[in-house]
Amino acid sequence: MDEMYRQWRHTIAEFAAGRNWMRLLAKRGDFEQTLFEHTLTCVEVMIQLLSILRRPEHLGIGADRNEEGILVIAAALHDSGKESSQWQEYLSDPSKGFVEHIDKDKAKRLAPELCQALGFRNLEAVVGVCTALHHKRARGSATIMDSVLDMLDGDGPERWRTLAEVVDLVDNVASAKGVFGGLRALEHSVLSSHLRFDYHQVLVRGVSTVMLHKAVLQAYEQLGWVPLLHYHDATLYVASALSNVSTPSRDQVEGHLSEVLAHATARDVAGNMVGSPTGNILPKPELFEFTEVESYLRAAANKVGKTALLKKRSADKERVVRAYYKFRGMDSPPEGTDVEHEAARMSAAYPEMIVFKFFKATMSTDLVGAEGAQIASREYEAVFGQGAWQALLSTSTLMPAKDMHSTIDRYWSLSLAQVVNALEETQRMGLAGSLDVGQKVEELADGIRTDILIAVLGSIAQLVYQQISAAPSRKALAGKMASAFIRDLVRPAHNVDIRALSREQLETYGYSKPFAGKDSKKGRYICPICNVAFVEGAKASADFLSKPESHTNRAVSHGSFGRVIICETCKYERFVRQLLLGGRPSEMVVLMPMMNLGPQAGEILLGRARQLYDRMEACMLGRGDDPNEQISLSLTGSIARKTLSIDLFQLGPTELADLFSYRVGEENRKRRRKELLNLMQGAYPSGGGLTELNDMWITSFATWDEAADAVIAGRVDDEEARGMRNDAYKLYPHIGLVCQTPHMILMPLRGRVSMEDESDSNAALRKVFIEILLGLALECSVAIISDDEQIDFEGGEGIARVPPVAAARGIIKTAWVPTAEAEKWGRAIGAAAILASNEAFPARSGLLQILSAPTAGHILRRLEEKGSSAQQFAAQLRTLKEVLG
Amino acid sequence: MRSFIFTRSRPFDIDSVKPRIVEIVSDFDKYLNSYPVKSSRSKHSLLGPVGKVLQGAKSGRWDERSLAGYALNIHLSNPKVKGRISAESREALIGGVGKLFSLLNEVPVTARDNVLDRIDYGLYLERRLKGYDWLDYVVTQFRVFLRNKYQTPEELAEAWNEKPDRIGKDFERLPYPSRRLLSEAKGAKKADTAEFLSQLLQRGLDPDENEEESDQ
Repeated sequence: MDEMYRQWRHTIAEFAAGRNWMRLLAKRGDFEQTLFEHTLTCVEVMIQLLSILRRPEHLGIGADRNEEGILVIAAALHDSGKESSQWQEYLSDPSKGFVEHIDKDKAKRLAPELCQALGFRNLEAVVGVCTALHHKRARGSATIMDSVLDMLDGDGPERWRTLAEVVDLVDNVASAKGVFGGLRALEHSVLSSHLRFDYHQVLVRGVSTVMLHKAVLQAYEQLGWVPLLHYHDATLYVASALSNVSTPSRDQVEGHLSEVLAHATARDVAGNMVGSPTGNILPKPELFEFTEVESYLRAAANKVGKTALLKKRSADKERVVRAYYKFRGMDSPPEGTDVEHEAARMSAAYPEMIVFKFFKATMSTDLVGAEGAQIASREYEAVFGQGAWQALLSTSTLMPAKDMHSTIDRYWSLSLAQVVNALEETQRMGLAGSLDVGQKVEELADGIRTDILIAVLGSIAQLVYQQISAAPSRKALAGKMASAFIRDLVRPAHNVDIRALSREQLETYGYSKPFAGKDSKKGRYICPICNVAFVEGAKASADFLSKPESHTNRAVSHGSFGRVIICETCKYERFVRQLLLGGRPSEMVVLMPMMNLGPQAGEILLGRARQLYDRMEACMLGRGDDPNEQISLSLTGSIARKTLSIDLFQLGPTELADLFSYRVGEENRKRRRKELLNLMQGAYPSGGGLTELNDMWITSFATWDEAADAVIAGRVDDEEARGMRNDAYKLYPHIGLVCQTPHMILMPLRGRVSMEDESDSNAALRKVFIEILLGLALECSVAIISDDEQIDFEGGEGIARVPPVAAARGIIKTAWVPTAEAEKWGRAIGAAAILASNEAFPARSGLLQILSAPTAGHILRRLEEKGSSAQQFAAQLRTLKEVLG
Repeated sequence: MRSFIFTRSRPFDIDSVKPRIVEIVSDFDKYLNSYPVKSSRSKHSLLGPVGKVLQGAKSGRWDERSLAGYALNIHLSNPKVKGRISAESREALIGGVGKLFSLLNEVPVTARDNVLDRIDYGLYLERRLKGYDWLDYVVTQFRVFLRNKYQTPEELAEAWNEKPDRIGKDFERLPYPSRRLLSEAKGAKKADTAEFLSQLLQRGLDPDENEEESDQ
């Protein structure tokens, strides 16, 4: 879109916003669209079509510049009659009687203002005619005659009828439901002989869908197609009928998809590699990259603390130590002091136990083959002694007594010399250069011991990888994921024998029941997430799905049940989600266009989402001078207080990010500062510690407090200092952003949008509040779904999705909050959140209790009965009166 | 064989009578505008005779006219009204009672208590919010009065011998000018409060009409 058209669109957007069209509806029914959105969509469709219609071989619109102006201004004003309060009332309650929205006179009255802003003159008559004729119902002979007379009077263009038909087409395309409605409108239009149309369509799955949209869009644009409108699951493209553009092949799309995925997933995966010490320690072997093994081992060491066993009850500690004695072949029970001593040893060894456990998983035959496992066994025993490999293999999930005996004791009993011999000269110098090599490993400090173990096991692993033919690598992963995700591409389609496919699905359906919950080579499965039939899939671990072991009616009701088996595509979908967020998301914010979106509106939506995220990310990562400023979507009361004096329709992305930010409380601030000091003093212990710190960080702090202040304010330019600041203040992105195309933008959330111990209904209302704010600020439909939930909505049903919780939907009385009611519900939930902070209401269900009260008077009475001063809540009670009565 | 009779009961939706409830609340509210409350501390006294009307309607032992008469009698027994009631207020009271009985006769018996409950608390909220508005109005007037007299919070603090933070940067922390404040104040504070209250009384306004919240 060239700069002039961009400017035109901007001018029209300002004009529409100035007339408050954001608060008015243009469409209501299956889909909702505000007058503002509909107007801009029409203008964008018109501008996109003009790029083709300007050519002389088509309509040659550009030859008369006024014609361009007429088309764009008429596209902007054709529905101006919908701004009348009568029509708006009719839309909300059609039983009140029909009200006409075609208002030629109004369009004529408004046209001069837009004409002047866009640099045209005297177009109002023809804009009026285009408005009058833009609806099939109104195109009777009388209207046509009236238009003819209008055009005879003035100096309108000769082909005013054609222009009116183009405006009609644009309105029909922009108003059509979904991509097929838009296609139909184009096919039956006056321009059908001038244009070629195509579309892409995908099955909506989640994060992978965003990547897939991006890949298909790239493939179409590369071939010369112009995107006309984006829908949540599709894009409609046009090209000149005389061009020889073709539909991209699925292979071309897959190539693009592979690149998109490789780019999006190229990041540090160490955090994702280590699973649960009490479950699957290596849940995603596909992500494994042999060159990164040391960073994974380090992540494994950080997976557990060193006080886990010490914190347990005496009886539990005694039980563990007794089991340990048994492994060592000691018959006598442990004495009191022995229990504490051994428990402290085992506790200190926890990180090393996990390191051994992860190492064992990386040397499994699945990853390195039988040959690799044999080499690993040889190299391992060369360091840890005869029988050590079998002892390592005999361990399972974390069992302190067994692990202590099978791995740790063998390691700790070695002398430093025996261990470091396995290392290269440079590594040896770095780790043990200043240590006495005659020392036993057990005598070393905890951190040094772990570092040496990681280096030793890492070097064994590298020896193995050097000697096997195919070291495990994730370089091929993007390609594998692309070939899995391409199955979600509906169009461009490949030839499918529908009858064979149906037969196969039916057979699988009949065959799959005994195999559900069992990983069998003979098995055929139906994916419990996406319902696709498949033969080879993956056993779902807790890392992929909540409660994968819970029974399903898709399995037989008797016999054993392991874990559900999911298809490869669903598995990779979960990989991508975790890769992008650095962990398993709990919930996901889904942003979708309301019905449809033109390309420039799409760019604006992407820009706003990125602006919002950049601001939030800066807070989450403590990029400012105050790491105590954080982001939360759950503090509804605090957010609501900030919105009291704000016009919700004027919210921008930066203001929204400010609403979501908060400053942690005094107590937590003190605790975090103390934690930082501990980290600093731990790394540079007393007795010259501060001097050493100054040397390392090239600083000159006189006291620890001064150093801590500087680190907190982010004034120390040192990697270690920044790391300590991040650890003490927990500065990591707990919200992610997957923002590639305007079809769907996702924000995976590490935590739920809810408070601790809150009921689902209360949390659902909290989510609606956040959705409304996001929807109004970004002008799109918003839903917050759990990680296991499917995206089964299309956007455009309303502005905010009410989570499927009966009590919440009972209050709002609909599954989606309509745009017209967004402000009302936003204010009401905000007011309820402010009131819920009062002790008169329980933390678990305060919001719900307030919003389900029969009248606001009941809330007032409750406040008074609990001895609260209700006068301070007068504004909130007034707001709630509007909703409750 | 007799044909089966099918019935399908549909739960009563109280929201369907919401406009009529709002109308009744509005009538009673209009009436109470002229009813001098004895004290605004309790819900009972805030609703005056209307509380008795709602109670009577709930018991089911009254007819429309008797209950209206009973409410009028309570009104006239209030010493502050001096045996008078304006035609407009009377009309609002009797009209409200009439609409109430008509609504109660139309809704299912099981929904009557809910309807009465909504009217009761809806009206209570209206009266309470009006009270808050009145308190806001009086304290704003007091602020204007003192700002005109002293110009800055610092000058006022000095005259009243108060800490500036008890006045506020924009006089926003001033206490409510109640009679209790007057009795407890000393010096310039007492004189200013007395002057303001006498001005208010001259305009026929009673500052203590809704004073309970401001006392807190």
